[in-house]
Amino acid sequence: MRRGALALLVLLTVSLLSFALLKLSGDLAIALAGEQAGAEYVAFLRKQYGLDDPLIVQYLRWLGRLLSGDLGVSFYFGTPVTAVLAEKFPITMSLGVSALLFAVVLSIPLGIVAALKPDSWIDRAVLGVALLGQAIPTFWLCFLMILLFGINLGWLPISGSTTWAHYVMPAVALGYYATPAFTRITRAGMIEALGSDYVRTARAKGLRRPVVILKHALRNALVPVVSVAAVQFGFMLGGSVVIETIFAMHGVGYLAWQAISQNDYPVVQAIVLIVASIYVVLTLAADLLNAAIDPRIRIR
Amino acid sequence: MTTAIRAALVAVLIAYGAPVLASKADDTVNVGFRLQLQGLDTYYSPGREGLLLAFWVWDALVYRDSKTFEMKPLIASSWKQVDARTLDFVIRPGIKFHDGSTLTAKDVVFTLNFVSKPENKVFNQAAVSWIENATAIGPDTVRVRAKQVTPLALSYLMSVPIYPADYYQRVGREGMAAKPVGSGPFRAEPGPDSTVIFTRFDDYFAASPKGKAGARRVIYRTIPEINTQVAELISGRLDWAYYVPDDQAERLRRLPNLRVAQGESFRVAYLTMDAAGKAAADSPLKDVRVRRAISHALDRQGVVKNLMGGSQVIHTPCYPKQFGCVQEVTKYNYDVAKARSLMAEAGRGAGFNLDIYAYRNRQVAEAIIGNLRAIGITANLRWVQYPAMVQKRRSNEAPMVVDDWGSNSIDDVGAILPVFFNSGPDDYAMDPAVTAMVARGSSTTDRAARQAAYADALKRIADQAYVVPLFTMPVTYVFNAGLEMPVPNDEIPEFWRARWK
Amino acid sequence: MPQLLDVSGLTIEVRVRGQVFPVVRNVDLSVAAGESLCIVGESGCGKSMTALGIMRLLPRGASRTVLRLGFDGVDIAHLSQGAMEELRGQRMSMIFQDPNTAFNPSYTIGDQLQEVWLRHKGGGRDAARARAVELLERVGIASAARRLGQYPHQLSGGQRQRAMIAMALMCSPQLLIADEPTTALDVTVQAQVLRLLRELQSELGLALLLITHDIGVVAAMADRVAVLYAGEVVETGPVRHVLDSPCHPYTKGLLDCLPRPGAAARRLVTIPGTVPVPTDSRSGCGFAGRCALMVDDCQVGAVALEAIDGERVVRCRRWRLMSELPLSTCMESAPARSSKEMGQPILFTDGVTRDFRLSGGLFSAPHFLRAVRGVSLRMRAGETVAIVGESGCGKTTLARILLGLLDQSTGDVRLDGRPIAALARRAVARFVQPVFQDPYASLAPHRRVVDTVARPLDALAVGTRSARRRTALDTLARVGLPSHLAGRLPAELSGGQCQRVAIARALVLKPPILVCDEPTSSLDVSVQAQILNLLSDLKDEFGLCVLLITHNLAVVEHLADRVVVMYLGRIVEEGPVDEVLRRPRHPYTRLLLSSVLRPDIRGGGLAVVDRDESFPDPLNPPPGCAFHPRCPKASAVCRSQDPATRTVSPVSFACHHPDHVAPADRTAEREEKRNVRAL
Repeated sequence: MRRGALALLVLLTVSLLSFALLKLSGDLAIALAGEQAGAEYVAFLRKQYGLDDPLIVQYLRWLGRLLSGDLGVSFYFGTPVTAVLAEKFPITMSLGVSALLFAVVLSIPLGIVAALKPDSWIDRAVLGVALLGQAIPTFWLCFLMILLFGINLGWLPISGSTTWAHYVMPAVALGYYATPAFTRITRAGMIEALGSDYVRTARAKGLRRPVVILKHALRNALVPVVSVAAVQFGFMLGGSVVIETIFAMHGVGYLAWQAISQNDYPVVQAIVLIVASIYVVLTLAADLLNAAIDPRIRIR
Repeated sequence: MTTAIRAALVAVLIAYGAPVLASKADDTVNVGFRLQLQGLDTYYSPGREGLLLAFWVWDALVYRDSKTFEMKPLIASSWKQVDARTLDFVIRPGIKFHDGSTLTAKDVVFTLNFVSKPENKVFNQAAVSWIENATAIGPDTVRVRAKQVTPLALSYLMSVPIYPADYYQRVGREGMAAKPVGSGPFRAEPGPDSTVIFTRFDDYFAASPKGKAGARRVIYRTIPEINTQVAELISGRLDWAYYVPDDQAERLRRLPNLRVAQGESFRVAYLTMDAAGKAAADSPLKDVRVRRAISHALDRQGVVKNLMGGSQVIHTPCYPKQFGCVQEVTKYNYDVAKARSLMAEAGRGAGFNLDIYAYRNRQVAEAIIGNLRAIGITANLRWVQYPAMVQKRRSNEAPMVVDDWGSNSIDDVGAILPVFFNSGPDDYAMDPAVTAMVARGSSTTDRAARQAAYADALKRIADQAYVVPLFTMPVTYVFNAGLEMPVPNDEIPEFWRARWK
Repeated sequence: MPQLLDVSGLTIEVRVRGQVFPVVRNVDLSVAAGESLCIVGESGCGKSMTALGIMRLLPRGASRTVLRLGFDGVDIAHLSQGAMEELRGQRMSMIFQDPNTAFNPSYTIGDQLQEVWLRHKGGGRDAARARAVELLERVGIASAARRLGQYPHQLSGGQRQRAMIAMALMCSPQLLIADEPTTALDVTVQAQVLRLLRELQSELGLALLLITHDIGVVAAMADRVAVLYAGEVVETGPVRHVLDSPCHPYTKGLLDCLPRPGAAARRLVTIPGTVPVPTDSRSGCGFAGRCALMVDDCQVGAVALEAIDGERVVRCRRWRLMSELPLSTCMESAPARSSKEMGQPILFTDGVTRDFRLSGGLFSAPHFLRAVRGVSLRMRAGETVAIVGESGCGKTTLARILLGLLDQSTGDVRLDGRPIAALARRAVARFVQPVFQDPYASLAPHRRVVDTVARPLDALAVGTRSARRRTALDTLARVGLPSHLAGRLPAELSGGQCQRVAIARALVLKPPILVCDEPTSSLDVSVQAQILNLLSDLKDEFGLCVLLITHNLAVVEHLADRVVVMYLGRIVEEGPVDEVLRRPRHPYTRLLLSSVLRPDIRGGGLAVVDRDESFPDPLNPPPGCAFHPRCPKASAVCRSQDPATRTVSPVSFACHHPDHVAPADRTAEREEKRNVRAL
């Protein structure tokens, strides 16, 4: 219960902060009026949208509408914000999930291999490959892939998000960034597990080596990975703007950028709120996952 | 193992097989834009693309010929200037909307009255705020009254598409945005993955100067990143794109499947200066010698040659082909020594600091800053978004701006001069003489009088060096070599003229 | 007799920072089918490594060489990895010391048992399941079928160890290697597990290789014993021969160090010097520096194993002189403990109870754990009180309350007449000081020992800095730490030396009360002897009141004046040491005493049967007398009524059916019962 109240407080604070920042960063009326409009029309628009009212009044107005389930109507699109979000959210979600999958599928075997021979050249090579994920500028990697796979080889489509093939390059670009974190955690967890008493028991029972590594050691080494995954997923959802722009995937990331530069504040507020909520939910989910995975927490 | 590989291959083939089909074989043209068209109600669609929508899906009363810039009848079969503020239009019979209903004078009256009301907050205010009202004075005649003498009335009306009154009143803005109905050469509907699909309207009226659409379908694809557009052009999945940067365009020229062409536009760039002392009461820019020095100090030819392929230097703040634009004025050649001596003469030999605002082309701004430094002026670059710059300008905080203006694609100086030389918040010259001359040009429909008035204004502006006119801004178009489509010279792509060879 | 396991020339080396050190040198062992061999030695002697080396389960960085490793007639020394994996779990099994960590916490007990069967025997899950249930029942785990679906953390320590034994026996191996299988368990549980192992051994004809440091375990379990010292076997032979008449001076020293029941008030014998570490280079006999029989010749040239008769071997050139060793050099006699005057009561507790609130997880209500119930205790200056009990009895919680680290939920605690709650923390610190079990864990690893000892003085800002350092050095000298070690870090000292430092730190403020929580449990036997002697001397010299918490009844007898027995949070018996240990009133005390392993008795003295192996859940204690499920004398009243504490001088106890109590006093008991029933 306390958790829930705290979460609510976090959401309120975040929404208030973003509201204030947006208002202070640009004049919505001018942006709305367009290039050609004269100053009087701008003033007229200001009055129409209530943009002259004090900040707190505008915020409370928005909050009031929110509580009745109305996220408002986008100034630019003319469509209700919920419709806009409903269209774009699945794309960002799919992108996040595929990026996470890629990161996990790449990192865990790498982490295992590194842990089997710590401090050897294999170990260093694995860590090097993983670190590249953070060192390589995303923008550069994206275009490298586009050049190679989209143009030269023609294996993958470049822009859009209609089929699953469209998600391959974006997922790789987005997920590669998280690889070092996962690899290191898997490696550390595996090293600890491989040196543990229960692995020694498993070997003493005569179990075959792959079984010992994968069934016994990996199972326990993966526990922290799950928590990290929950947090990284949050980052991926938030950090997908660049990827979505480059690959023309019309998801929430690009929408956020667009809305901010256009001062379309109903959309911005809605996105901030939703992303903040997702973070809160993810944190809770990480706790629940921990309980689910570790029987010691789950069963008293 | 092999079954798995086989299955994977099939999946891969299916996965990207689809987009490759939609092209020449399918009589479809894929065009790329950076801004998304979320709602298809042109009066409420943001940006240039929202304005372009008006030409594709709807028709206006008049149409401007893209080669000769002559006004041609479109929905109106003829018009008459009744008096200085009134125009009568005869509406052509038999024009059909996409939903089968017929376009009548009622629709024209409804549309004009609707858009001219400020409460309706249509985005393109300049095109509609001059209208006082529209009335039907006969079964097929509409009388349009302007609030004051508006020499550009027809040019404005060209961008005012006619909506179906019944439909719009029934479904409203949201309905039109989701399912637009017009009488233009294309139907439109939202497509998957944030695309817009324009389909040829087969019942488009034959007498139209626009002509029926040449391709069956045009798909508008939103690709925000220009480099991705280039990649798609190369890979053949995109057939048309514009505003391609020069360095990319150069490379693309070498590819056999693409054609690169430059189109003119009414957009011109210029440097505004705080001659009126709005930003600072003791601003050095109040001194005409300083302004002339700055005019001499900028190497405009150099910028054009190195940074802006295909553009030309201008000497007045207007596009040379615009009506009323003259180039025979005081010209300031690139002469740094002269600039320095003028500065010394004005007592500003030691130079000074000021802020310079820019939002479009950073390299150009930096070139200008470099030029200014050579004569002792240290300009601090303020790189902002366009609306932020406007706000600064109107709050008297922008002593110098690297600005540009597209004139809303109107081929008349009246679309630029009155905006910036009206002694209002956007005017940093605040010269009553210039304002009067400009007002004279905008308050009569007599072409000769207008031309003379604007010429006077431009001469004085050049003399006083209120602004430094920089260059024109042509647009680079890249498209599939197999596509036949005229290159626009007014930034309005006419997709109905596109056809596969 | 054909040997099932025949090891000759086993050497194990460890690689540390690029250098290689031998930890096991040239060890020869043999175990016959159905026989049990105990390997006994102190920490660092290489006994665990030997076991791991036989199974080829050595950790990273350790490598082995062996002349011959015969198992059931076949030399398995150079078997392939795959063949070795076949052997492990199926024909030779191993169980480990800590049952808490030896199981994988993420899989059920059933899964981990069945996978052994499935791996070696293949075939159906049903057969595996049936076998698992069969074995779990055999090892004494009730409702075995239900347990299969439980996770390791849901079983108690004793149950886990039994489950581990079951797991090791799934495929009916010929050899079972047990590495300190009972060290982590409570005394009573240890007795049960050892008894179980003995039964299984005779029932299944299992050969048992048992590693231990506890001579009592050796006496209880072994047919033959091998004594390991610094990586070498120093003596091997039938258990009674070795224990009764040892031939190696080290073996004799080990046996003499043990605190024996009935030998109280005597100083413990210690072995001078310390065990050589593998990194030291060695010439000659490894024990030479500490041996009473040493001559110069002993340090020259490696000493070979010498056969004494057909069954015994010893690694000593002068073993024949063992019997001539005068008793006086083996046993230092000390002045008997004078019965001293006890001073005023300085620690007083009355009805102390402590509850803990445990959250129930996401969905259930919180539980309350009553760790200490109604403890009333009085300690006088100069008195040594031992608190004895098994895990979960509340002794640690009580100690923390008395140290002022934890508040009591109800009840009165007074130090020198003043309530502890009213005293400032610093005042309490000057009054009561602790010595904890793990010497390394209780010293700050980055601080030099002299600074650690000076810390309490620094905290209370006593005198100048140099004066404080001097006091610290003096105290360190007093506890017998060589002065050149004062500037070292704890990691550079041995366990015994660290414990001395901890004692010095506790005494530097000269507190009247010292609370020692298992001060010697982590230490080797020989070191334990030294520390116990030290504590004994110090408490006499400083007139300390010592609260000693331990599970080792021999230590109790050696050090304490009074003993308090706790079970499930309350005091069940209390009285002078002689009385309680010789004539225990409470059945639990009797059970504890009977679980103590006696090295001088064949079979270690494992006799009394514990009715129910399950230790009660402190969250859900049995109604009435908490001990009744395990008590052979439990009756109806025991199941319904919690007995009140009664005093029949000089002992007090809480039992409805106490032993050694005169009938007259029992009348009082009957009276009480009648009165209570009338209420």
